[in-house]
Amino acid sequence: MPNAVAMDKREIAKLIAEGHRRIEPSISHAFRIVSDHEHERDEPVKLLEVNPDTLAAGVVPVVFGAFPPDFPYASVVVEVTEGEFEKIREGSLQLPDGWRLDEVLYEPAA
Amino acid sequence: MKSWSAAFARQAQSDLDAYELLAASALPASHRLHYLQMWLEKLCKAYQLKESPQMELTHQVVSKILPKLIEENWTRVGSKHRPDMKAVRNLCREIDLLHPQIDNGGKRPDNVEYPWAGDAAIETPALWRFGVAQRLTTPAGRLLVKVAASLTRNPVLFPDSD
Repeated sequence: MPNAVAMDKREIAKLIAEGHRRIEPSISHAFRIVSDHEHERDEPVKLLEVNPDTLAAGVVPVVFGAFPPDFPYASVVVEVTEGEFEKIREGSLQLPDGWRLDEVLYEPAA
Repeated sequence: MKSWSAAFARQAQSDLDAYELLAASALPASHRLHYLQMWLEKLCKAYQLKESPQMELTHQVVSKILPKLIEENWTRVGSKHRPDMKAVRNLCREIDLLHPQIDNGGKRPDNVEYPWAGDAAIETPALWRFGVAQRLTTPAGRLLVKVAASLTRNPVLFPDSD
């Protein structure tokens, strides 16, 4: 049931992003990252977070195991500075092969 | 071990054991801080995505990754006390600076392994008063060590169940 998996992952991505922002309000944006294998159960939930307080070190994916029942999927978080985020958007800084930015999970109110 | 992640996690456990022995000893602070830095570096490396070796960090791993581990642990496991993440990030930066190859562009030659040229004399790690040793006793420091030790010994967030 690919759609059910996709919906679960979307909700979990939001839950993770909200949790991170509660603890660290300096996170300015959060996006979901998806891949061509997103419908597969083994594919982790993936997030990109923009945080001016993080060290500028490029794209460093940090992976966490599943933590059922609330977090039934593994997850990956990529945290970048605002400058690095601009480079990702311009294409001069790459996400891992096959990964792409998807929906906005958090952004400041306009 | 089945994976690099599992091997780094296992070595982090051993480094934590050594850190605790040294912390309980009368030896100079540089020795326990050396093991603290090695322990946390290996713990953080265990959580790096190994499918992308070109994206692996070799330096400043603690600054980049440990705050994320603490954040994720709080999000998933929860705790009564919300960590002060700015203080945690500052402390992580100080822990990275304990490594002799990380010196903030020459401004911070103090490190836990080798003597260095100070302002007026050659300084020695065993005799140096490391500010980070005191900062580990602050709320942010105690939380950092507690969460890192928990994630090392009871790796509930660990990506590889080897």
